[in-house]
Amino acid sequence: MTAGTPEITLEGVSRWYGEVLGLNEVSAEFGPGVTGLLGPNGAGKSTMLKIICGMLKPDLGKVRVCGRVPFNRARVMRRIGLCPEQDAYYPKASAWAVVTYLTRLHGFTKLEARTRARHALERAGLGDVLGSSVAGFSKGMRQRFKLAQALAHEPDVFILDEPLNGLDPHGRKQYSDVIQELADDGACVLVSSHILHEVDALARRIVVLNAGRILADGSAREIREDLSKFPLQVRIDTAEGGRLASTLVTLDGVSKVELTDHGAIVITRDAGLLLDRMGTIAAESNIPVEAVVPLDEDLESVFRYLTQ
Amino acid sequence: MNSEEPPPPVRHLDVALPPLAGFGPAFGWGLKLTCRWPRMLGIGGVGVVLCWWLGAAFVGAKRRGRPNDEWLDLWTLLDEGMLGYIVPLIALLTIASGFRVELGRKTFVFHLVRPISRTTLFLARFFAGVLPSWILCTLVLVVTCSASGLDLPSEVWLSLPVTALIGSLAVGAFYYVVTTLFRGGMIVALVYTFVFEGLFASSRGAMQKLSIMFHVRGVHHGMTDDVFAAESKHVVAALNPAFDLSELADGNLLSVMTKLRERVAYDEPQMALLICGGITIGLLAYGAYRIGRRDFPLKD
Repeated sequence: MTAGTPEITLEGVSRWYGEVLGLNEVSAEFGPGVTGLLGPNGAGKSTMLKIICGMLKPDLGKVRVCGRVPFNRARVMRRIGLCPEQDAYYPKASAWAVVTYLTRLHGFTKLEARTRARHALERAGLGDVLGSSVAGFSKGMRQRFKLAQALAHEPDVFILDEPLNGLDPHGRKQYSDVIQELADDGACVLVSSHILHEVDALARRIVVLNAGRILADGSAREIREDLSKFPLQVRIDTAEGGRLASTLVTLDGVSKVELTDHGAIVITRDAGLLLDRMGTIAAESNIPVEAVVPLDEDLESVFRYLTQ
Repeated sequence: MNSEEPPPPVRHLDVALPPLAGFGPAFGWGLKLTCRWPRMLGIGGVGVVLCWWLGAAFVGAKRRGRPNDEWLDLWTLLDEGMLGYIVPLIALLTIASGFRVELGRKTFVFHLVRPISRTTLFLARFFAGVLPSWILCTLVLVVTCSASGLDLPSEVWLSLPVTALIGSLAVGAFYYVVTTLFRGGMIVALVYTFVFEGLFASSRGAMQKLSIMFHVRGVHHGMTDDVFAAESKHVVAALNPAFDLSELADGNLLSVMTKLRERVAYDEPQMALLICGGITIGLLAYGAYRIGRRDFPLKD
């Protein structure tokens, strides 16, 4: 009996850690393609992924992976490939040996598992260090190793928890390409991150989590549009903050200008317009501007707005 | 970056796993982890040297308050020294950390997302510890008997691997479950070894039965007591609960404690086997049940 479409369903899933609520009545469905899970530390991303992988049991609600409950159900694990967040490795064993062993647990013969392991390690960019101990790997190489062990048995549900941490730009590109290939092949890929642009580049759909709840769910563009409803802060460093402030208050979208020791902080609903016009305003008014720094680009601000 | 011949694509089938699926690779990998050369050489080397010395020095040595009887010496050494301490310690060193090490290194996370049930993994790692423990325990028992210089009949030699296996299974199951389920399990296991296997096994009356190795010793005695009794009247006397209290007059403390011990008859071999089997199966079933229901957040 051939298995159906790779899909994940969560219905009203809650999970407590003692008195702390890790996940709060989360309902979502994930199908083929890349979905980014975005949230600050402690948002509940890892909890959600661990529940999906069957490592944690939800206190309330239902989880299904390819139609089956994942907690302590080995059968469904044939289809899951997990790249865990934590560094986990056998100190003395080579990358090839470990991936071969883990692939054998899927029922492959030793020879077949070795071939698959080698292929997966090459695909992850570790072809040159197959026989090296994982203990000697850099952080980025360990991320690739974790990807390889998730790839070797060709699952169609991928759970990647903070996979790009510690990778250099070249590694990120390679890793992202592999994720894209998996999605193109029809796999369901869940990628968690706390870095907005990282998820933005990878996923068509983004689910924003904070304090165990889903705050936003949609394409990167839809989420940006949601965010544009909220005022953003821009810091402008200049020696003539007072003169600049009197000019900026007349600009569309600007709701407030606060003077500081180094210039001014402008609160605007249209940061794009402000950044576009800043150069012209400075030139026309003959005000020397040293720096223009958006203060709300960080993810914490995004979550602050979304929780308002 | 890709290899020349990619493996054939996998067809995902929604069929049930066969029983004990993944046992072989998990057992093999566990064996590889347990049998790392420096570790095994350390345990085996120290064990062999110590037991050779014990066999050579203890058997036939003259001691105050104790009859000069080599057969009694070896009988006592196997019973109290080897089965009381050495076998449990070897089991502790080879079996106990089989699962805990995966949790500690967080490599268990890789197993949680494989088509191998937690029970199968739990059992595979247990038996991956039992096999080297059995071999090492048999080795040190053989070394002890060889070092004694006595011409032992085949029944005694045959009893050694049997006792080593039953001891490794029964006491190993206890260590394995305790260290797997509890974070400070290794300390609990060590305390158990010296309190239950040491103190209680040497204490009065039914307290001895709290020691798992007491029952293992029942199997050993069932297989060898007739042989030793045929060679030594002192072994016969030791097997008899009645003894002369005047013998205590000039004995040292250890001798006094040993002699004061109210001897409890060892289990009949069949009963001992049943109890050891029950302990092993009961503990493993409990451990597997707890592992199956437990959450594994495995945080950094």
